[in-house]
Amino acid sequence: MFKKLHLKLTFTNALILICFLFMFSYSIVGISSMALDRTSENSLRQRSLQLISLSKSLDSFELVVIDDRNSRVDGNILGNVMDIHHVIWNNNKKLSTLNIVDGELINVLFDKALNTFKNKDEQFKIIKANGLSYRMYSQYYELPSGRGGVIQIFQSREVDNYILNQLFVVIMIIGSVSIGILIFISSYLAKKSLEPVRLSYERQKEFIADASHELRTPLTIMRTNLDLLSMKENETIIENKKWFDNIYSETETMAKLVHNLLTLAQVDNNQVNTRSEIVDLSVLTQKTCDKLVLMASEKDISFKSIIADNVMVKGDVNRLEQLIVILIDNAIKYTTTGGEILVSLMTTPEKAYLSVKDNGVGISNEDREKIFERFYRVDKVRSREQGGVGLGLNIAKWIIADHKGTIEIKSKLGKGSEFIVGLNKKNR
Amino acid sequence: MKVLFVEDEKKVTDALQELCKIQNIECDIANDGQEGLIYAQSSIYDVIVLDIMLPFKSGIEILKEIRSEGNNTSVLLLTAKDSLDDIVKGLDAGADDYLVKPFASKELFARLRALGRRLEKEYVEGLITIGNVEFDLINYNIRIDGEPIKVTYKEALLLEMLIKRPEQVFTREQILDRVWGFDSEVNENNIEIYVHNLRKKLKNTNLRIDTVRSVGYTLRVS
Repeated sequence: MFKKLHLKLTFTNALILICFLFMFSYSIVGISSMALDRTSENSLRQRSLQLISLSKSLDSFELVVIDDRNSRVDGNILGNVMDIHHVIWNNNKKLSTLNIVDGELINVLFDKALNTFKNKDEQFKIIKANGLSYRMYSQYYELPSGRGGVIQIFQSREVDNYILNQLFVVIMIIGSVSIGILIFISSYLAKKSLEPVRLSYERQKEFIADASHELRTPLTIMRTNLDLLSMKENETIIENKKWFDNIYSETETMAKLVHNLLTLAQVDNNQVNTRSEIVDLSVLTQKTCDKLVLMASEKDISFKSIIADNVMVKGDVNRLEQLIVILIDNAIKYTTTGGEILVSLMTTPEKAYLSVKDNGVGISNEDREKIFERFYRVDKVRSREQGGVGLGLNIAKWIIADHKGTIEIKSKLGKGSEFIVGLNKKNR
Repeated sequence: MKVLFVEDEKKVTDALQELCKIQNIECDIANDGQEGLIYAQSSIYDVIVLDIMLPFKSGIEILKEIRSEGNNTSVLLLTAKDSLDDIVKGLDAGADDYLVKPFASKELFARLRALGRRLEKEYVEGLITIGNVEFDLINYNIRIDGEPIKVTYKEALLLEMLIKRPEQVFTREQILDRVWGFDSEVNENNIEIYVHNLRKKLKNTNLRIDTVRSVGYTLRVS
């Protein structure tokens, strides 16, 4: 899925860049063309004014102009494409002065001259003759004697076209190379920008798969046990207590799992409303210990608590209680019969430290990094037997982060573990 | 029918064991991958039911291992992993069937019976005929070219397990377990004597008992 998305993103970027290159190239060529036109038009007009001034001073349309830019050309083609040429039509619409001999071009010029005679104005035109393109300036003027004529100044556009074509080619080559590099960069950036999305998607997929797996396990137990009970319809409930107990305990596991999954789903969607109030952590810890001491005594675990008085923190009382329950519940699960659990609450001027210490199975260094991951269980069988669903510590981690607290684990495999939570104190 | 369940969820295996008892199916239970592999290698089962996510060794690893040893016992993967990729991976690893949890026990046992019948399908009314050898599974009479040959009960049991699954490699533990029972005091040398005797009796047939070095024996049809 992400490979396709990456390709799509790169392709779209490339398409945008190519469109941009064409627009840029045409703009540059267009601007250059306009600049060349303006320069050329100015030259043509200047040249025209010079010749008109000469013609007026001589009071004649017959001019002999000796100019290296206007050398007379014999033949059908221009001697130099850079040259500026001229023709002057007298009041009888006959050619009086010219520095070219090109029949087709003169015919075209004559047509344009007729227009100028008619409108008695000036005009710039692009004309074509013999497959060549020219920019032409045509102007009507009158001699002191009152006779009116038309002067036409023109210049080949081939050089301009050649320059513009070359400019376009250069821009396209440089642009294409740049686009190639940009596509490569774009592909890299697309991949890079998709990476967090991909990781988040993978995590979500993994979470759904894990959640589905965890939900299927209690369902399987319930279903197989129910199937079995349906085959023992002539037996009493007492005779089948084991199967009923299995089903009952699995409904509890499922309820816990669903509750935890909903909490985590809310956490992921930032939908959890945590209250911020002054909480007496001493009272809360004592109250929670009192609730859980029975659970420990059922496993014959010695449960002790040393709790400092009046330790106040700012936070959500329900979430903090949930945190203490998770830590003590875990300690009970992973402490064998006859073991010991010590819950202590200590303070420094700034911090409150809640510690839950046991002499249970302990955690290996390798597992220590992973125990906060969702559905990670060091000992899957033991955890399930104890009703664990593998989400408690992940929720605990979130509660601690939400209260801007810290957590530290001290543990030795086979010797026991200690979870120390640090919270900011709120002095009354 | 004898079934091995390799499943780490004790509450499931307890119920399955009880269900097997009701349906007169002999079963063994292994609660982790390592134990499951040992069971699969040392006994003969009609079907092996494997969970995939198991402690110590995954169901797929067990499956690959027993297949690489030439064990072609029918295997059903019974797992909570339900994605298409998982199913394809499981079947490609050599599983014969795949059932996703939670399952209906009726369906599971119907599938087990179907897998068990695959072998029996090849026998017409309890009679296996390969080339010029006929094996009567009901009263253990063996005929070569229509002529009955004399075999002891243990030899017949040994030949039965080999002839039911030609080309499958049986370990010495499996043979001991099937022919003499797991608590018998007979040692592996006895197997060699019985194999030697059977080889002599099958001399003029297209059946051949081959020794697979450091593993066990297999029956090949030429």
